[in-house]
Amino acid sequence: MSARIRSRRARLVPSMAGLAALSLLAVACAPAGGDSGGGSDGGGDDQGGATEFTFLTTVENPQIRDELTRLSENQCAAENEALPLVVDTIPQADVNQRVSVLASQDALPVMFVSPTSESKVGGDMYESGALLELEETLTDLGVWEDVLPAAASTVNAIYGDMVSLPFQYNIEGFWYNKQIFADNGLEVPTTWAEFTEAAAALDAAGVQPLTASGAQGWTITRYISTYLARANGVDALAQVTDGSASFTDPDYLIAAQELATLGEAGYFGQGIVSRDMDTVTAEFFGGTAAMMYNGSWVLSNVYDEEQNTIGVDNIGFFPFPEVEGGAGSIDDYPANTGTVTAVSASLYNDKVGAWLACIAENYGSSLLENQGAISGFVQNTEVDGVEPLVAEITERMVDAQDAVIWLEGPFDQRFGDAAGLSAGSLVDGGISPEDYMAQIQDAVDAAQ
Amino acid sequence: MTTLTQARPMAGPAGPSRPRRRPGGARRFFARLPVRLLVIVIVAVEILPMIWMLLSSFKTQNEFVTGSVWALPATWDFGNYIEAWVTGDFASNVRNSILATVPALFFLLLFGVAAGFALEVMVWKGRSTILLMFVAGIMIPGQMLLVPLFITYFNLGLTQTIWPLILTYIAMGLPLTVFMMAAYFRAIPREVFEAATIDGAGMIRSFWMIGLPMISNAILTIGLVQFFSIWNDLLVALTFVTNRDLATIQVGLLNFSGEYGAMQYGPLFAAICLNVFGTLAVFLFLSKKIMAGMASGALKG
Amino acid sequence: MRDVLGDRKAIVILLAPALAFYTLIKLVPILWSLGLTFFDGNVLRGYEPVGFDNFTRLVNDSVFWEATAFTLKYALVATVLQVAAGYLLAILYVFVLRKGSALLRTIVFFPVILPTVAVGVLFKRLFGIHPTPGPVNSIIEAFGGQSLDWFASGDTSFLVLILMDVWRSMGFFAVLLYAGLVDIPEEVIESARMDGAKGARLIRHIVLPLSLPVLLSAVVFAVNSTLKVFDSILAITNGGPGTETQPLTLYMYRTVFTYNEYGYGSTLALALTVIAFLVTIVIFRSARKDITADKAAR
Repeated sequence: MSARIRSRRARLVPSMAGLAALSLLAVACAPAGGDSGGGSDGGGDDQGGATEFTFLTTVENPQIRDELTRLSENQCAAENEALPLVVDTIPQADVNQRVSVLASQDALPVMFVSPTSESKVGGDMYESGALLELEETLTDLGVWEDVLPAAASTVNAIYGDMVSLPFQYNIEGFWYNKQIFADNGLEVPTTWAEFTEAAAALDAAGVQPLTASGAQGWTITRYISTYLARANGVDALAQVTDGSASFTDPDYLIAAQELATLGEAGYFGQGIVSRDMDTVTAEFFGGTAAMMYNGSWVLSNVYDEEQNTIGVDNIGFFPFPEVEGGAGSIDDYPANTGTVTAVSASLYNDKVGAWLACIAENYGSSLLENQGAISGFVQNTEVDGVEPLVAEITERMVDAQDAVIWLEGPFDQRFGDAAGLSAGSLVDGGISPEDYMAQIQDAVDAAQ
Repeated sequence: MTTLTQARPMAGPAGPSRPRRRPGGARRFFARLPVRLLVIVIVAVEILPMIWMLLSSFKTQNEFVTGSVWALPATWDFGNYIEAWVTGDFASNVRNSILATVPALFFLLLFGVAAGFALEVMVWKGRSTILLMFVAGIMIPGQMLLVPLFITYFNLGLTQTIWPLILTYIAMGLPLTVFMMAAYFRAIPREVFEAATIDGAGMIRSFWMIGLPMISNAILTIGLVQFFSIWNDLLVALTFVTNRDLATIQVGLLNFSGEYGAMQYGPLFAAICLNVFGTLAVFLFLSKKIMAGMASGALKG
Repeated sequence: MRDVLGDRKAIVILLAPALAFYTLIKLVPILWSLGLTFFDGNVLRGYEPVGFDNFTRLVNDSVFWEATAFTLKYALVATVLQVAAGYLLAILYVFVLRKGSALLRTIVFFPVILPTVAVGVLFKRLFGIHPTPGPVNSIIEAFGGQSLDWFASGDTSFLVLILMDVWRSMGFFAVLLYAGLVDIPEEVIESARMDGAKGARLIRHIVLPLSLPVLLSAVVFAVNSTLKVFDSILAITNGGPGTETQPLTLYMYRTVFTYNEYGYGSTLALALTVIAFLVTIVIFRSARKDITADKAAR
């Protein structure tokens, strides 16, 4: 290193220190809050309403943001002119933390994903008054008829109030491989006994009857909640919430035992604890597993030729079978409305109202036409060339009686982890049905 | 990545400990066989995953999930790479990663070395307390900082900028850097600095002219470690980046996961390969330059 | 001369930037979080003081003790294996391969630069059983064994996690320790050789004692990173099956960000910090002693 460079370096030191001090100063003196906060503060104007239609959604769900962007360019162009759509995304795993912090700083966007358990009546988000009540709002706007009644009642059943726009509406049940069923001379099972017999027959024929993912515990816990709804009625979980029943009661324990029996017989194949969702769909659509419990969003996989190698015509759907002598009906579908998409109560103004009305009127048909997916909004425009399976699912949605709530639905996040993280072990025998039910009942008790 | 070497000359090629060449080539070959096998095994254990990544980046979803781990892809087309580039918005992710990493790394090393010098070489009361305070920082789980920092950055209006990343990376990297730098300075005989002060050099000057060059190897090693921990950070980037336009490469990788737990493996691995092999290429190029610069510096100094 | 080495202005200029960043962005938020250990609530609901409730809860929380036991077991096993593997590699570099080791050093270092997502998927595939057996199970079958569902039990999952961590970081430790071994004066080793020390004896009686200081700093580093292991476990087992492989960091993260219990989460973080601190102090103490002894010997 030459002496010249050295001396230049020596002169650099004070300037470096100065630069450091400057950057600290810049941090300390940066404008507090205000517009540099950009999109996420909702761009509130002097009247407290929104100046931009800011929307915070999850990275993992491109469906809603894509469709809203499309609407902003077409049917809702006028509304977008008055209040431009601005989309921000966060990962699903971050929703709980980020949205709570934004709410505490009074910085929520106009429309946002909201943590499920906190958005229920009694939850922190709900009680903070940040969430706009949507039934009243949409009724005032004259567009309440554009929400599917079944979707509205699902939202109300889960959250106790209309806190979420039904951008998504899904029913769940068993998807099955018609070809495999025909080859083995099987009919669609309508009772739990027929279902287990069909599984046994498939297993004997060397076909893996079922597949589910231990990494995504919900694909397994749904068996328990739906079995309970069939056996003890749709209010089975509500009885646990109000304390009149316990998961450790014999008539609740049986749901976990039935599931463990399926696992013990090897119907789910090996390695369920770590199996991921992609393996599950690949197995089913590759024809190596005969049945898969899943939601109606799977339709997008059904019509994806690259994934679905067994052909659209070979795929069927049947509702979770009835339990003989049970209090529930096969017409009660497990249903959900996806992640909560709430509207900020404080940023609401006429321009936001105009946007909401436009969404309610157009979203249903636009989504079906452009993405082939079903939402909780009525399809106001006739969409041509709807695939038969999509039409069938839509029909089932309209005919659905009561909504069956998923196992984790009425409870808190601690319960969700207690149920979900051990679900795979319940199937492969790592935890006994008794211990499993005791573990989730403990989580219920701890929350009270 | 020859910079990893901290190269210091070992015994020269004519060193007496070196096994002498024997005429019996075959015997020598067999004598070296266990070592060769060992090296082959080590290399295989390290290289096979790289090959697996590359193969995976060309596979379709079905091939990846249901096919054998080492199967070759059915076709060698670049669909996944195009998908990664477009959906993942890879170019802007790379830009953001560079914008966050380079300034953070520069200031982290500068401040860390300076503090290490002040704490180890200079003599003053309370320096061991301050050093202990920095060392304690190594032990604190980073997850603890997230909420307070988010609220602070938010109120300062920084959340829609890249600043929270730079500032947090500097602060989070400091404890380890200061600790290691102090340790390296400890290894240098104090007489070196004492001699410099007799020469009349100010302490800032002797830091710049003696301290810094003497531990340039250490700076490089720590710099490398810090570079990869910043470049591969997900926790901080995930928490402080809301805007898609500001997403770093690691955050961008989340673009390939779906709402109900599905993952697009092909494009994901294409993006990972672009990241890993891209970094590797830039790195090899840069390390040559750095090594050359250091070598010339060492010769003249 | 003392005056120059104690030049206040120089100390301030050199130390101030680091100290300012560290204090503002690390210490203040930590103190903020630690203050929360006496509160219950979250950002949204607000906080109410609960005295020492969080600490009594901690003592009675079986999940906390399980997570602590797992964390300590993991840190111990991973540290020993990482540093041992790194040390053996360093010896291989310095005494066997000598100048030819540059390429191998680079190759073994490679996993450090892999994103955690990639490492997670890789190890799940390597040890997978379904729908096709992964390479590890294929090898077991080739030798006539029975395929194993590695992720179905806590013990085998632990094994996979340890293997992953050793694979991932041995290159890093090898480079760190290599630097220490290269520093050992050649004459020392030569004279030992003349005295008839060879192979394992040479390593044990000459090389090991001389490289003790750098070995111990590697141990401090390894312990502190393994005690805080987080994202790789999240990516591979997600703490499962159940919570059998859940380290303290993951339990803390879930408590704060999933369950919204900021106060209790901070208490867990404090517990982890105290553990890390105690472990480090113990190592430091012995390290200091050894280094001074070593210096005196020289």
